[in-house]
Amino acid sequence: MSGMAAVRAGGAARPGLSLRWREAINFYLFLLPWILGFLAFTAIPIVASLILGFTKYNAISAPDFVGLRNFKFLYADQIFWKSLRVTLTYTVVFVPLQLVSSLFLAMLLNLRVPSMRTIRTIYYLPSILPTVVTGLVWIWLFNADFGLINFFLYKAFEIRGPNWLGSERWVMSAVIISGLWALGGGVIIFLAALQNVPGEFYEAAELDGANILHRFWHVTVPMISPVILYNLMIAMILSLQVFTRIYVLTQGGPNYASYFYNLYVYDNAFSYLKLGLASAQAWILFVLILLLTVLALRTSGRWVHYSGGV
Amino acid sequence: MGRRNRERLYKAIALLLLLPGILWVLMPTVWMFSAAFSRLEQIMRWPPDLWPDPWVFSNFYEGFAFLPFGRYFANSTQIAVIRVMGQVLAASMAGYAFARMQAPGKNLLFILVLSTLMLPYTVTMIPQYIIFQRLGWIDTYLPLIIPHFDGGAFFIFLFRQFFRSIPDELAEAARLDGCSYFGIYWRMMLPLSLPVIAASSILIFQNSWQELLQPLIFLHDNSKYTIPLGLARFRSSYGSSPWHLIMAVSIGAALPPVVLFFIGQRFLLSGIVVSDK
Repeated sequence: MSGMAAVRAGGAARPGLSLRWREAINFYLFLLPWILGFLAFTAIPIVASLILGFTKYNAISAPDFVGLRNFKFLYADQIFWKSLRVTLTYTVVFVPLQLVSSLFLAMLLNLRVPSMRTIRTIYYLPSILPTVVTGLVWIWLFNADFGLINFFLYKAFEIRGPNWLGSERWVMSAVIISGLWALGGGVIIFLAALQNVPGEFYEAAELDGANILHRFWHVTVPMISPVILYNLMIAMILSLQVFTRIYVLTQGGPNYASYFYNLYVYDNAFSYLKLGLASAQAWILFVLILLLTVLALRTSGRWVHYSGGV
Repeated sequence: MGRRNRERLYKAIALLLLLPGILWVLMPTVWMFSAAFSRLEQIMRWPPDLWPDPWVFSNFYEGFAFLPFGRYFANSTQIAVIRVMGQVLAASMAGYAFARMQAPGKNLLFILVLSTLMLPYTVTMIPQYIIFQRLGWIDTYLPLIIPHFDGGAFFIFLFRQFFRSIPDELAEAARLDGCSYFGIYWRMMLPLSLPVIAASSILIFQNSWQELLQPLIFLHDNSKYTIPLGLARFRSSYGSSPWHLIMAVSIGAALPPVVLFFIGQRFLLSGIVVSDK
């Protein structure tokens, strides 16, 4: 059988080129767009930015090697530490909230209920709207004097709501609330995973007398655990890089209370033209993300189950 | 309680949780519509009144003129359409190679593809800026399009998962008929992968349509702005601005991704195969 395949396919190929070689060459041809793009826009820039991190560079005169000065500067820079603290606080609070509410929402949306398609669409809507647009709308929803949020707080609890975006104390909560409003991407991936869990597993569990909580912990969670890990890592990576929403909502204020890490990198690079310093900053974030990802992967062995090779 | 009754109870509880949530999810959109049809005075009123009185339709006309909306819209559309075509093609090719071909170094390359997910954009942003400046690409759309022609790790992964789920016999039969790898990919695999093509097109279009950081860095000439960049600049240059007009423009800005979503919606879930079969 395989001999015949070799003969037939070999007839179409150039003589002297084995099937295995032909396949390998084709593989690399198909991958060529990725390889070229990766080299030009990822690999070379990564190395270049590492080198720039040790230089003083303003995009006009040639880069000046300064050794560790950029890193020493950042170490002594209060705003750098502030931006790191803001970003980490957000990540630590937001990621678990987002993960749990996305999974919960996905499970609700997975039930077979009349008009579920419409309900799903409505819940996905916030993620379709451009971030800049929703950011502009949230500015008004959070408005201290005319905003709907404070109106509801007053109507429901007779509370005079804070000046959300103008107060150092409340701005982080506002950022988190507006972030939790658009759960769409993670929910879709959870939903796709839930639909892949074979129904027989639940039936078998039910025959064994498992209640809804047991079924969740012993069937759902193990079955979708690779996807939980994926969503956890992506949520972590993305929340350490938040930019657009903050740029529109607060521009980092008030008094740096929402000055996220990448806002400072952007400012150093393109507002103050300190490209060397900004490169060093970007690399620090990169190393932080690598460490956190490795940590997540290392500890995942205990709770992630793979039914086949990914 | 019988099994069927219990099932019904769960569904009722789920609906009870989902329906009030809809109010929360829709609130910003409702406010956006209300403001877009109101006079500025009505937006700044306590208590808020969401029903426009009177309805002002000229907000759209005025807003679109205030921001050169037509131009930004055309710019954003041009970028998004070209990017979607190139990125889907590259992602499907790479996904096909990873799913159905063997070659030395394949596993290592796949790990490399996935690991780019961890790379913050700010790391490559500055060298990219220097490269594009040397190439004379600043104030063109090439920096917003060409770097995405590598396919992108997430979309390569989506295509790979889908192509892996297609039975071997189909491709095997085509191979026996002397079909080349490209022939199988182009005539058989691509048509089969319509759900993934649709799902990734929607997501890539959205990404491109709402991208702010890259246009902010690479576009300086006002007439080249994209919609998000135009809106963001508008916001930072007019502190106390005509918000009713901004909201009218925002509705126009949100329309293309929403329409595209409704057209391709049925593919969105079926195109995302996450099981590890």
